[in-house]
Amino acid sequence: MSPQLFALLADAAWATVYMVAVSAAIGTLLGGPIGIWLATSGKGELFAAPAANRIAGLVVNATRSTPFIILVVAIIPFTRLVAGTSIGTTAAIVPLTIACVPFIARIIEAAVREVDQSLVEAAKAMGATPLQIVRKVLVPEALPAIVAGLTLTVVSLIGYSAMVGAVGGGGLGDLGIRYGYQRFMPEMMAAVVIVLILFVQAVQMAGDRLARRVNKRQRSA
Amino acid sequence: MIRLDSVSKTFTRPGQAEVTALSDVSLTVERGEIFGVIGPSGAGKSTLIRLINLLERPTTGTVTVDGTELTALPEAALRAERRKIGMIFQHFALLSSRTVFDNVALPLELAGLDRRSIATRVDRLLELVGLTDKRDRYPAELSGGQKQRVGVARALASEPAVLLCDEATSALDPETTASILQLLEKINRELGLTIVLITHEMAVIKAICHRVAVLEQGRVIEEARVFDLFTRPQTATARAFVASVTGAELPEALAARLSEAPLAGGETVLRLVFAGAQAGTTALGQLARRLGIDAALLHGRVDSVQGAPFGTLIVAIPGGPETARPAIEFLSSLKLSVEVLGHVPATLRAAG
Repeated sequence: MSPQLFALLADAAWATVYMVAVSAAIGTLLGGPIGIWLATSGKGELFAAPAANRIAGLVVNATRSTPFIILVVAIIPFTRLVAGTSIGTTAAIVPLTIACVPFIARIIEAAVREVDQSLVEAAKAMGATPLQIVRKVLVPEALPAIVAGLTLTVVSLIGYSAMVGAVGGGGLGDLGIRYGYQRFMPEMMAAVVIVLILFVQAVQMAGDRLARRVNKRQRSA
Repeated sequence: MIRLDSVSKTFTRPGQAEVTALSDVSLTVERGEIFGVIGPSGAGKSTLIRLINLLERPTTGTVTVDGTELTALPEAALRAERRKIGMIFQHFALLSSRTVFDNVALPLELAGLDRRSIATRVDRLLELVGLTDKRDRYPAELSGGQKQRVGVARALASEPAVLLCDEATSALDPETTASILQLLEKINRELGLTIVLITHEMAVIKAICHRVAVLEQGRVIEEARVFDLFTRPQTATARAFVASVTGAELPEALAARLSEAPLAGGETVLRLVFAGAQAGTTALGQLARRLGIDAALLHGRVDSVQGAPFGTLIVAIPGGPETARPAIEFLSSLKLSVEVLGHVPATLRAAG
């Protein structure tokens, strides 16, 4: 592979890392609290608001059922408002984030719901406030499942990021389509796929290792 | 110390019939007392203990702890009061993400204590429950008994006046149960803590409780000093619980032949329970001298509750129901608890 092509590959890899990392980070910051709230606002729960809970659930489902490529073009006006432009790598972060917020929210909701209710009861008996229960009980106890879920999210985001070439987002997927497919350069296609495989493997291994470290439930003596 | 005043609790779920967990329960627990609540499963025990710290709100009635009517408090004030009520659970409810030390520290963190006072107090509690060497272990590395000790230390962390035990030993083996009960008794004695425990095991009541309430279908059907419950149980449920630990069961061959209906000329089998070790045999002697009725002794046992002895005898009165009636009246007049277990044909006892 020529040095020029290699430079293209390195640029694309960096663009992918940048898009995925930023959208996963923002997505977690927004989706985390939504997920926790979804898990605790049902009837009779800590922050009981059953009607709002149902509406939020509908919105989350609607976002998740919109195919990503449609979401990317459908929200172009919003992207322009937020990022100042609707084209380029930074602009691509907007649809990626919007796609992963509901995904992360559901994953964190499921993780928090898995926490044994008797722990919530015990904390209440200690005089904990609802916010203290979230901070000291629900989040730490759900952490292994949250880490596993976020790993899954990042892997999905790497896949999604291949589609943002449609708005000039760049990245590995875009490189693969334009050079590997449209210019018929199989060696570029192979290189892109190999780098993507390496990324996914690295993310999964790091995620698994972190999940094991925060999981104190099964300890090998 | 704790007063439940005509408390009822009804659960309503949409599309389902109302379930009354407790109806019109009134109880008073004195300061420094170990008070037990026993009942079959589904009797409302768990609901009852959760009413004391208002984890469940009563549908009607009031709950007063240490002079404060909890049912009248707003949430924030209630949270402050809950810190004065410790609680331990059947399945321990420890945070798996925290070490032993951090689990015990949790209530203190919630109360906003500084790091150093937390460390001092937690280390002292771990010493009290004998877990100093497990300080930095995680709950998954502990045995059931050790986990419950952590539970006890955590419940004591905020220096409560009351400790609620929700089936605290039901998930433990008999040996571990005994050691946890000893710990509870020690806490009661040394710290003067008022303890309320619920259980379905009479052995737990017998081991450490001073007074006991028997709960059945959401009602308190009997409330007594534990010794009185053992020697003079008033209801069939209480008698069954007592029999479950005194082991005063019939020989099997006899039990198989017991009939409920009286048999003319047959024998009447009675269970006699009495305070003290000798009262029972003395009573049988008097029965023979005064009424000329020779009761046959089938089974006998002396047991003790809170250090006070009491006995259980199973006897057969010959001569059919005509002889049994005056014998029962006579024995009852001697302050023995008399229960008719059944009737057997005259010839069978020898065979049994």
